[in-house]
Amino acid sequence: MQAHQEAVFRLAYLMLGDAGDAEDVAQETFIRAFRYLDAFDPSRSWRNWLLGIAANLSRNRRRALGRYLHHLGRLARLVPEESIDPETESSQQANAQALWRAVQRLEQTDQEIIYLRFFLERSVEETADILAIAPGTVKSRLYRALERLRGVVQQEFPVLWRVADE
Amino acid sequence: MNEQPSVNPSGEEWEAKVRETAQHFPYPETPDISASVRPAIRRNRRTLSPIWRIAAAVLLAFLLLMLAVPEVRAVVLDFIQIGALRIFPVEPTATTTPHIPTVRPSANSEPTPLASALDMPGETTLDDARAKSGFTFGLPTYPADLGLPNHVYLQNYHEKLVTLVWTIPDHPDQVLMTLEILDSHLLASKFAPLQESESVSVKGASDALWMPTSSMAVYFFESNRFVLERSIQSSVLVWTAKGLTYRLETSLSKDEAVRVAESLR
Repeated sequence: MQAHQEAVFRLAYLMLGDAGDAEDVAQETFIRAFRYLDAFDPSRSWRNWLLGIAANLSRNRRRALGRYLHHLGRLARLVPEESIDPETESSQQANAQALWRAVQRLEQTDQEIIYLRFFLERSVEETADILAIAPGTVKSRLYRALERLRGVVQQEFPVLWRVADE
Repeated sequence: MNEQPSVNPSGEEWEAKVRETAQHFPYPETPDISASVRPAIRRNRRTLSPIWRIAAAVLLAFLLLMLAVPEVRAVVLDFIQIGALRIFPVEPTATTTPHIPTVRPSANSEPTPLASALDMPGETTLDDARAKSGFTFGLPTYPADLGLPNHVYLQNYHEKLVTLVWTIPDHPDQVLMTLEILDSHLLASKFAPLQESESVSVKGASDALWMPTSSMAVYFFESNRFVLERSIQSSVLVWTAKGLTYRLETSLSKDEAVRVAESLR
């Protein structure tokens, strides 16, 4: 369990943006995994199965937050440059945080594929297994998600690349 | 463009830039999930043990026997629980809707009364319910000509409740059979005259209870808040299997209802 808890927690954190919520989801992920152990296909990766459960639970929790938090999220989008954590130690970390906020502007399916492929460094095949889609679908979704991300960065996050060039 | 020199790289360069940047993301420190989860997993394992299943079945049978004595029923027993369903005993009445006693759990709001399972909110498709419920459930294959449910409902709270409804052929407004699947964390209450109830054997189930009389079901999902309330005009079979709780409402006989329960695939 300890071998996978970091990946599970990190995926939940990326999707939810709150460490407390991410911890709750990570705990529930392991509890559900053991509860439904009979349904686990031994030919699959245990880690991928856990990440699939974590993604599903995170999605559900996001939906449960309702309109109120959605509204807050819309307000937050109006001030993206100020939302970069000033306490972040390095420009690389500041860049990564800004990238995360840019990804959060995307649709949920776009977010998930970018988190898995680039933040958690899962392969195309692993991402396909986690999201229960075909590897070809991962590639096409990823291409579209990256293009949309490029548009968000161009319009809302010029600071993201200025910081990197300093 | 000088201020955004890297925003329009080629597709491969852009992908590489996103990948390289993402690797520096400052995650919070990962808490020790395993320490907090282990006790819950142990509890879960205990409930799955065959010995505990037998013990639970014996206890259920004993409780039902005790319910035959009114004084014992009134004094000793507030409710019995099967999986995610808590059943409060009520006195049988001549009306189809039993009187709910004061043992009803505290509620912050009155639930929405529903005249029929067809009034359930959250209608969706079978595929959508399977995708969003977070758990795997089968469909009855008995009777052989039953087919797919005519209506599917998903209560999309933190925990999920899936309701499958089959209607009478040529009478789409009349319910033939209802099957509810409750996640084991979701807590629902049911008020029913338990003296006619009996513990039954369902293959693959941990516990199973047959209630041949009409009753009332109340669902509360979060913080003891009642959400839905529905009178039930038919018999009910409740059972637990693989961490889920099932409620079958049907006008079939007990033996036929058990066959339906055992036919889930």
